[in-house]
Amino acid sequence: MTKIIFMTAFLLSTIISNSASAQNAEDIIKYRINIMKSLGNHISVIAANLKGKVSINEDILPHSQSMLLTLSSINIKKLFPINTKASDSSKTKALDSVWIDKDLFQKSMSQSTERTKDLVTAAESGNNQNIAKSLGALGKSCGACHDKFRKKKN
Amino acid sequence: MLSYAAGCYGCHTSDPNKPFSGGYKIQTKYGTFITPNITQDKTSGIGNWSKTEFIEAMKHGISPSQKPYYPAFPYSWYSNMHDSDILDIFDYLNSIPSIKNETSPHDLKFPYRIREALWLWRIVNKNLKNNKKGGLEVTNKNRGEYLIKAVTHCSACHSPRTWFSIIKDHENLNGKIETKKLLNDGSPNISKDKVKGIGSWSESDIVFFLQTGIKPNGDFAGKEMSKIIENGTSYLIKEDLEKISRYLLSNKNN
Repeated sequence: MTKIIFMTAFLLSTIISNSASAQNAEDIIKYRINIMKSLGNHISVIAANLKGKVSINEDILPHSQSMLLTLSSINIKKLFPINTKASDSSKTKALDSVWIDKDLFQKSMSQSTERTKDLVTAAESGNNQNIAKSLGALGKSCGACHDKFRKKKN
Repeated sequence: MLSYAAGCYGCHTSDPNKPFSGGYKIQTKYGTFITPNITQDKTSGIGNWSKTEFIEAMKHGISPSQKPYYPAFPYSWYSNMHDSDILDIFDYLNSIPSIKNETSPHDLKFPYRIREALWLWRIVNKNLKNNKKGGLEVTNKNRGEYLIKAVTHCSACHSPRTWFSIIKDHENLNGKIETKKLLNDGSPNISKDKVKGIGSWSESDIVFFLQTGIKPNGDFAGKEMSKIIENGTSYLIKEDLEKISRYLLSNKNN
């Protein structure tokens, strides 16, 4: 009888702990997707002005700065824990290479941060041609990172 | 501009300090194509070519020594180009520094390495026969179509192909599903379909994308398209990009 009670308690605790860690993984995935989306939204705002869809050019600088703040504050260890790979969850596109090539991932993220600093400098100048050039360079840097570390969209 | 928009620079440059001198590797399921030197160097480049030989290569895929080119070289699109545009490219290549650079031969699998088999491929490929002699007629109205079908050759990547690697329909820009991950040969749907394609994009969205690689949602072009934008479409003037956008959004056949 004691054996049965122990076994049941062990199984229950395993199930509860697994579900807690799964929930945590799903939450962190959702959280980092929101961060990435927020970066995309800042870019859309800047791009809308450059395309001439809207003429609220004074928004370009604060959105560039917000992007820089967001990127600079990313903590890769906390944002990409080991149990949040695309191979663990269908909700993320993060490839295993994020964890296999950690240094390269960190370097790619740092490069994008540097390109965002250039964007802020261009935004401070108020010259839309320079801003477009810097935004293009940032896009190239982000795109290169996505290629290596994000699952392709179907 | 044409030498960039048509992809000559992008495909024939492996080292930006030696533009157009070839050596760029194109990985495909058939093996690796290594692009040749197209600068005016007389031994390793095309310095001995006549204008007629250049047109023959660009429009019909036949080398001066009468060998067929592999279709990795998109001559079946360039055959829609006007001779005057092709000669503009020839003149441009004549104006840039000649670079000596002997490139390696293609590294292809069997049986694709048998170049003579291409004669059969050319017989089967009806697209080669359908192209209009003298190139597509160009008016101000259809310049976007001309640029897409003759110069930027979008359907080379964005159209489904048969098992014989022949484009099924040049008007179909529904993209391709990746066959093997390593080949990176999938391509997105760029038809005017609002859900599957780019129909929800505006003209200015497409222009901006072809200039910078930035999509309307703030995401970015993938590696291959980024290269095409950086080395190709970003060289097109805004008016031409607007015409391309208009054509993509109005094309009745996709």
